[in-house]
Amino acid sequence: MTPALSRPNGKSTDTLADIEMQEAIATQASEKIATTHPISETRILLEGISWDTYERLLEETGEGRHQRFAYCDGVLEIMVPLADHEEPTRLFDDFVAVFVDALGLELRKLGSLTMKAEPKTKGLEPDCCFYIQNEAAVRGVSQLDFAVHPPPDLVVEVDNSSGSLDKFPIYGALKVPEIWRLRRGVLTIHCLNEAQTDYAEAEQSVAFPQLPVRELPQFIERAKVVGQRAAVRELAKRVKEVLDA
Amino acid sequence: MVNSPVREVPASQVQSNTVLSNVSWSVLEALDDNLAETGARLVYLDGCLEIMVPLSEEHEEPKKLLAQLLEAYMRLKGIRFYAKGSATIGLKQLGARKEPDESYCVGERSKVPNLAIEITVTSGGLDVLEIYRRIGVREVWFWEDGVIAVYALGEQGYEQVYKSQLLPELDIRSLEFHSRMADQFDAVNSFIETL
Repeated sequence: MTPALSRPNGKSTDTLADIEMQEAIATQASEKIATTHPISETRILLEGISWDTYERLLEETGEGRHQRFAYCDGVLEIMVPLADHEEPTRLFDDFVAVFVDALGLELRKLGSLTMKAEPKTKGLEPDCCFYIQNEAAVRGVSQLDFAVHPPPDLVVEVDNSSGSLDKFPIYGALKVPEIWRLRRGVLTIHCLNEAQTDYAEAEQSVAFPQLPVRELPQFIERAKVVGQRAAVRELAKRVKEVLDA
Repeated sequence: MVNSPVREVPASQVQSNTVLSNVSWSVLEALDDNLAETGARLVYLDGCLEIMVPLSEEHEEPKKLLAQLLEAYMRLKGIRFYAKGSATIGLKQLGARKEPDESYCVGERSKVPNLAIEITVTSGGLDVLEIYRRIGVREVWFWEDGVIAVYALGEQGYEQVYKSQLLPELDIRSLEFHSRMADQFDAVNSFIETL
């Protein structure tokens, strides 16, 4: 089985009939969910892509590209974002700014910065990424080199699709300490373990241990009702409550 | 980042596609080489690269049925033809390249097919007719949900026509009707009987 198709919980002994059954159930389930949660963004998985082809594609399609590329061991994922993907992504920039301001910290937000890991087998563009704890180390640096500079302290992945490339091994290779994953309206926090080999789901954020990170999806929903700025102000109010308590 | 001149709205879940801009011919060739073993297909026009990945084999059956019907017709009518399948056509000099779903040299064998067949399952891709115009394919047929649109190449580019110029005796409506039949084998037999 190729890395693109393997599933974390998939048993290799499944017969084709079992797999078809599971897929039918999964399809039914996702159809039900689709009525209340975002429609999935298109993700195209291409296998057998060389690092050289990936780099040349990055270079040629450059700045104007609206699709996002992720690459892991010969598999290239091209993600075509929809509004349901982009809207929460943009909101996270504001939400993280609220957290940072409330704590009097500094922030460097770098959006979908292209990150490549050494050796040349993995790379990606997150939905958004931030320097917080290490902001001072990269302040004003225009050419980030992960051989010299630390990776972003926090990345956000919005993923509403099934069958997407597993980004965690790529973030692991880059040694990104913290990932927030928003999937079908639920935010989970994943922290790199001490051995820097894998991610473990965590209750609290490393960057913002005292703040209500897992409540953020509520504010994304609120933005649809009261507007984006009003939702950001509501979050600022909530953060103040938490800090004052 | 979200603004793009090309709108990608998958017409169905049969296939995923996306269009990348500013891709060179040499990267197209590198990708083509990398993807040789996969079902992914590449369409190229003036730096725009459309990548299509089949999500199911759903469009294979109508494609093969249409091919069998057409081949049965030409054979019965004694019209010589050479099936070229999905062989890639197009050149760097033309800035255009594509694999047709099916293609034929009707009448005599030549390097470039004179008939290309496209089974339409996605929208929002590249201008397929512009690609075929540059290559000089005389006739292009689009099959979509059992309806065939025939385009013939003239002085001013392609024009939709109601009879094939390559196969003027062919009853396109009968071909459509049989291409919609549920059983592939029976459909071909039934079509042969009408001839």
